[in-house]
Amino acid sequence: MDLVQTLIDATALGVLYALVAMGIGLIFGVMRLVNFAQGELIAVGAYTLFVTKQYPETVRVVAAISVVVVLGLVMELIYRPLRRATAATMLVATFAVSFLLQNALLLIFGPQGESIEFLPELNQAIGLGELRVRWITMVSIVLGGAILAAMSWLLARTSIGLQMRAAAADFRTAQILGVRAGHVIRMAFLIGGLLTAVVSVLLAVQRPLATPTYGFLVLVPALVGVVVGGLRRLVPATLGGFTIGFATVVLNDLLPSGSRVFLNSLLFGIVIVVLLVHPDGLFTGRARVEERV
Amino acid sequence: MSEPLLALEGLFVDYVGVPAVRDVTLGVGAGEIVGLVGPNGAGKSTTLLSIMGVQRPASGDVRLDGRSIVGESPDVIARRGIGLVPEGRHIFPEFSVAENMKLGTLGRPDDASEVDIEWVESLFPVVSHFGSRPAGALSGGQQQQVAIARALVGAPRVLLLDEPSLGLAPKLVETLFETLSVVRGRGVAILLVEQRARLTVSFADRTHVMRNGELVETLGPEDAGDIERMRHAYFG
Amino acid sequence: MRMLRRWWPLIAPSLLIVAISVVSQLASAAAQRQILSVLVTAAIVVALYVFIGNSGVISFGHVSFVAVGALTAGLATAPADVKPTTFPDLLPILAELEIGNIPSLLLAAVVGGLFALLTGIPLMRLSGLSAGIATFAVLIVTNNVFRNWEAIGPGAKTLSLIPQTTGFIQATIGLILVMAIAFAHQLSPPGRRLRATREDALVAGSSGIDVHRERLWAFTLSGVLAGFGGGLLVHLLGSITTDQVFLDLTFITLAMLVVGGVGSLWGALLGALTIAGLNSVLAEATRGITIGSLDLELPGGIRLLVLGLLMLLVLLLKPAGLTNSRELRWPFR
Repeated sequence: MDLVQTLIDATALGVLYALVAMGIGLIFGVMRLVNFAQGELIAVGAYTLFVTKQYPETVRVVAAISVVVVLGLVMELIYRPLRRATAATMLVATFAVSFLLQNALLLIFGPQGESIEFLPELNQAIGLGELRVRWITMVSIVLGGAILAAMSWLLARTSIGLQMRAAAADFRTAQILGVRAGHVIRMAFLIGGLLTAVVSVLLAVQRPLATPTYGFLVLVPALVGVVVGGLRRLVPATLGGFTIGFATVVLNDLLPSGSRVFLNSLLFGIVIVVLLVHPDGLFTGRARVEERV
Repeated sequence: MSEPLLALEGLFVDYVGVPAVRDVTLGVGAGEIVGLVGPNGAGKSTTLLSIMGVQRPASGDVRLDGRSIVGESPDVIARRGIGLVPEGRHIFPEFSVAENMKLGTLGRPDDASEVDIEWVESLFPVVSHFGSRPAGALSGGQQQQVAIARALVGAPRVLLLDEPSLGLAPKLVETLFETLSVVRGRGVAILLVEQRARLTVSFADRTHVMRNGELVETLGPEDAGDIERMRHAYFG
Repeated sequence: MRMLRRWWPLIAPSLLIVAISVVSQLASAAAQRQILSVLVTAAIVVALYVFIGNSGVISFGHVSFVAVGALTAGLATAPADVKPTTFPDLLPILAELEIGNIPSLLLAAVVGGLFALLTGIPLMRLSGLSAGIATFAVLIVTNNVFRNWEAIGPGAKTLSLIPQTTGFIQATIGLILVMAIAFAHQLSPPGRRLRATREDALVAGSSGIDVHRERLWAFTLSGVLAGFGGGLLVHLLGSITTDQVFLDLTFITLAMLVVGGVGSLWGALLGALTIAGLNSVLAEATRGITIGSLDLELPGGIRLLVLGLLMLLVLLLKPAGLTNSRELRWPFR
């Protein structure tokens, strides 16, 4: 059945985007900084997998995750002087880091793209009744879902989770109570890095060509999803990421093939409308009641 | 006479480029309640915020137990033993009361012995009664209790309160001040910023009046009945 | 004398621009092209500043106004006999249109302004990141439409044979004109009211300033200027593709503004001059130049890398930009 097929694929992509969104949301929550360079973590992960082609799969995965996490922590270091900067400065700075990394990748690997060849057999589909579902789709949904659940647990039940939530809700009060700003921010980058690393690995299976803009192409819709969902709170942000991923697949399948080129116009047109009605985010439960200034 | 537990000396603090606190010198000793009153915008909140490290003083010193704490970040100051109940309470409305309290324990000095949770719970029964409920569901008075309890589980030696009686009914204010007396009895130094001048003056060991960022007068409990003197201090 | 002092933040940079143009006459043809591109880019950055600098709201979508202006001016001046062959689906009115240089620039400005007005009416209610994303969405949609709707846009093809009328005179006058309008705006009551909202929109709103209206005015004005800049751009390059007025230009112009100092006209200009200047130096270095006794030759891709690195460094060391968001002051008593 076409609709169910579409929904399954949409869910898989939605889950991946949700993980990216969560990484962005975590960092924004504790630091009020939108890390544009988060996308480059995905690209770096992809290229790491490429570079380690001759090694066994487990080694490749460990290498990719390690490199991404370390790079994430390096970013935290770079962004430290920006903690008191204006939103505009932060935006352009993270944009600059993203730009920098993209060009570094371009310089090292060239623009033509490299074939990653990571677990390509997962792209095969198995038949489930009338459906043909790829292994990677199922792995994405299951693994991604498990990670989202684990994150929920971490945030709700651990001290560090509580501290991150508190810092995101009211940074100043959290500090007054004793939450260590530096520690919490580092953890956000660490966890964000891990989440993004997982996305990178899962994505490498189904998008086997690594290019310098590999990550940026994922970041943009994910970021849009975060803002549309509700940037200030983690759950809405994650849901927003999921929604954009989901919507992209659904809209793509709904559009007549001739009009598919206009997918972005449709998607972003919807984004504008949603933001006008719910400037705080779709899932924060607050429609525009009074004049927002 | 040795230096009080909390000592402010020649404190100057700017707020949005304007001097908000000017040459403030005061001290709070262990087991003392010192009041700080004055009209709106006088600089009282800014004083507390700068003690807590949220705002950096332009000049002057803040010392805890003889040791300067200027320039430290708020979480470090919290762990040194200063607790702040900020204006408006700033409890986390979506977190449960228990989670709010758990956050408070983060401010425990690293070398502190076990926090006397039972004592705090005996002072503020709401904490255990409403443990699992979202803090935002509580009434104003109950939230105030949570806010103070939360600061107390950080085992502070100095407690700063910014207008804790704001929005509370008179009976609750009475209970609040009684509770503060109990806390004082434990040897905690309390610096109380308040709008209710007369009540504070009659209750605190001494009360400073702040106007336009400067300390203009110091009143004792015996001055509480002297309306003329109070009015003069307030309005000049 | 007081007039001089008051207008100095405009006069001084204008004199600088004229000086640059004059000195450039001595440079090589290649260098001259670089400098012209710097001047035109500066005009776009100043247009960006008119809105972002005064309102404090970040717009990622301004390059769509540049795009609209560029395509309007381009389509309006490309030879009418050639257009139908390369762009068969183009609307007849656009295919047959062929007007002069100045009218095309004016048309670009008007169309840019109209587009800004139309998108601004709903969007100016938003603030912060919502505004950023919404304006970014405008950019994406505009690009998507021009790239795929061949009735009004060039599609994936290059629109060429556009008269290259942007020489030093047009670039210099154009840039100074844009700066003058920008400066006049920030001195005017609407401009000052808008700046008041920048610090604290809530306070400004309650003191009677109609935030939405002031923002819309600045947004539209900056759309006019950006469209005009697009016209200048297209008459410099002689051709245009949709990619040239999309993400790279957005990033570069925004970075120029922030590095220079987002809150001042001088910041916008200095940022543009500095980064574009640096870009050119690096471009030359990758071809091999001699500085004093140093022979410098850098591998090709390094240019953008160094640029990005330098921008980052400036931001980390001077978060308010090179000019600290301040204007040039009259230096004498």
